Amino acid sequence: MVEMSLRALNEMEQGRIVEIKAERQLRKHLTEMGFDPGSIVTVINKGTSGLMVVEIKGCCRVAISTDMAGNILVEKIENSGLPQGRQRRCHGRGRRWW
Amino acid sequence: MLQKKKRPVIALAGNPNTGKSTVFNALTGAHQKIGNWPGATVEKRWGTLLKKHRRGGQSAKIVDLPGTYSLSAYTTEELIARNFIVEEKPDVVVDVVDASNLERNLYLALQLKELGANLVIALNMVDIAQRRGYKIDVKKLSELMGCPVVPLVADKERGIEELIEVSMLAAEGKVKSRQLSVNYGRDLEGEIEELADHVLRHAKPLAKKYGARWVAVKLLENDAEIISKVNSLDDDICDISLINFAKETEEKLGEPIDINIASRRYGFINGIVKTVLEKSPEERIIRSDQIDRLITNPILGMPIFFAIMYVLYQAVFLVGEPLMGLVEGGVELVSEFAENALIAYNAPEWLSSLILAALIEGVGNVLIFLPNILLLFLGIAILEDTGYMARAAFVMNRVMQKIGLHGKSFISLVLGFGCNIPGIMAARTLKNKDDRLLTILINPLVPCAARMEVFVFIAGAFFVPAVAGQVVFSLLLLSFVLIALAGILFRKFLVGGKREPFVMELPPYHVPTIKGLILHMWERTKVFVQKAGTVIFVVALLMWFLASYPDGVEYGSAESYIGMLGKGLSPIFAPLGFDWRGTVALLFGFLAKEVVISAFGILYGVADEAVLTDTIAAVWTPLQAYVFMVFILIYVPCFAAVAVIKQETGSWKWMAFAIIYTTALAWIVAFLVLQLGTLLGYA
Repeated sequence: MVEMSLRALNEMEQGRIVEIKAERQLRKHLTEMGFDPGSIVTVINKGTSGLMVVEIKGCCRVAISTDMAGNILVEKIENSGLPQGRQRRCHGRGRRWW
Repeated sequence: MLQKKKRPVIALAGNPNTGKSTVFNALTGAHQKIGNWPGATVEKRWGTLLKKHRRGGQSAKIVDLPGTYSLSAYTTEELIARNFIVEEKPDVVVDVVDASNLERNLYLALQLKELGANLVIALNMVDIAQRRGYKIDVKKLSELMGCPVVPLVADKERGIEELIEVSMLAAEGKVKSRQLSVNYGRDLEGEIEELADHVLRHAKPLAKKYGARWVAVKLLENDAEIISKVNSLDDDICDISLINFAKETEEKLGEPIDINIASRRYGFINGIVKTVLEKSPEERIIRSDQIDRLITNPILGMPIFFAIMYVLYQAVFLVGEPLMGLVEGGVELVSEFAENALIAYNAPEWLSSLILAALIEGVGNVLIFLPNILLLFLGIAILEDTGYMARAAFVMNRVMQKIGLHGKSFISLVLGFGCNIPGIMAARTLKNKDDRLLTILINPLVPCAARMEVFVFIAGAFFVPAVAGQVVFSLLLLSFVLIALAGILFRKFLVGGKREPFVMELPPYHVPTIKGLILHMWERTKVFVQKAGTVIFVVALLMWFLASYPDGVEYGSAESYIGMLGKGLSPIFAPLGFDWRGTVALLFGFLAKEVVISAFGILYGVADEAVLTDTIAAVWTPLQAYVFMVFILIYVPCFAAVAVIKQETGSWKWMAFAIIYTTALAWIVAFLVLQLGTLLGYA
């Protein structure tokens, strides 16, 4: 298992949340919003606007600043649990298709 | 004697984006009251159960609690929701839960149960969940959560009747409900038990109000409000011991307890979700993601946003134009009718002038903009309700960051184009005080629809149509530049540099309901109509009076009060080249920007708009007109907006600052434009 920041994950990669490094209030808020340790996040979209979109709890889309994503520690899930079909489809479509 | 049954209070709770307001609208219809929660700039909505929903004539009060993710005291909204449940003890709390997002939504439901609320879960959007291939065992869910669960499609008003029935039964205590208690694990449970025991002995009032176990858990979670409540108890020695106990526990267990507790709750919910939810693994929100990829694309995102806004504005003016013609025709009809009636009844001249010039012209001139404002707010409501606005904030985040603002400030700015008042109020979504203050202070620089109308009117009088469009556009660009400058400077010199970290849920796209859109649009337009009915009416009267007296002067001439006022103040504006008429128009513009046009009508003694444009165009040079528009673009927002700035910042100081900085900036920029224009030979 590799520990890394959420920010370092690529699109469509998944990680299991280990720790949020933030001041107490914010850490609690993020935890309650669904970034609780042990739950799985999927990076959906790494924009360039200083934000990224991640999926939490298997369906919510949350936009989060990359700075903050840098402070969320995850355990990368190799061969992420996404079904092969979906993964291929998303790569095919999601990568720089313009 | 027959005792009248007490009207039950039903509180609506829920996460943001769960369709809570749709449920609220379905229950209360348009009869809603909007105000503020005491001591906070958070909107409070409440209403009465619609007649058609009343079983046996039994009414109910419905209170819409702010949308929150939890009941910790992180945001004011959370605190308000929690306090309402504890202090006001609503008979029933209906938690609106998004069926396709069960796990995250049940977190709040669980906290509500822990707080001892008489809970009913409204499982909303079951149709979407079904389409995604989710199967939810409602009966099991109800059993495990220890409260009734009612499936719902609030958009289509399906299940609303059942929800009301169950809620009413729950209010009477006639449904099965049981206590829910999360097991926080062996280590923690021991500590909780011990601490609860202390609470029971030493903090009796709190234990009575919240329950000893709940207080104990909150103390361990380091809940600021509960800690301060414990601190304010008389019994000093044990207060300290209670708080220390929590600290010691944390040290002993060697991990952040609050996170641990939250995780345990999620663990508990996860167990429930696993039992009640069947999900086919392939089903995910793929289409929404694909749209997002396009819309939030780093290269295309911004052009798409501007294209959408352009289309929106074009559509507003295209559809709005004929509607404005209709309103104008209506005003003329009324005016004609009144004139005839006044002649027929031999009314004195002052009365005719009062009714025709002040009331009908004054108010009518403003009402003409109503269609455009309605349409603009309809457009914005569509952008918000479909979920696009959240994406726009996402796309514009970087630009907003660069100019010192927050990504979410962007929504406030967009709303400002309709009217600055909802724009300023939208700053509420920002949690950080500095971000919010900055967003509020900047908003007056966004040219609202009323100011745009003044520009369209003046530019139309001085320039041929093709150029007039460019002139108005140049003013828009100027406002962008000023917003950027003000943002950077204010962030640097005025407020702190700390910004709220950006976390925002992107709701899945969905087709808005007509009812929701109309309610949304109307809420914001209402401010404008109320203004036309009150402030502008009074202003029109006042203007008429000042223009007609002292007795015997020619209406709106230099000898009238209004003329004297303008003459007295005109030295201030002389360097900008405004005459006394311009000065007066600006003065009245503070009361409402739309009034500037009516003011010209009165000052030049012409009511007909076409004649008025010719009259003005003959007196001013195009450069003067442009400088005048620049001043109007920037100077103090209308007084309704100023009042809202006071309300939202809670400070006279910031209100005064907003008035002074905008007006000073307007003077300086207008002066510079005049000098530059003269240099370039436009005079």
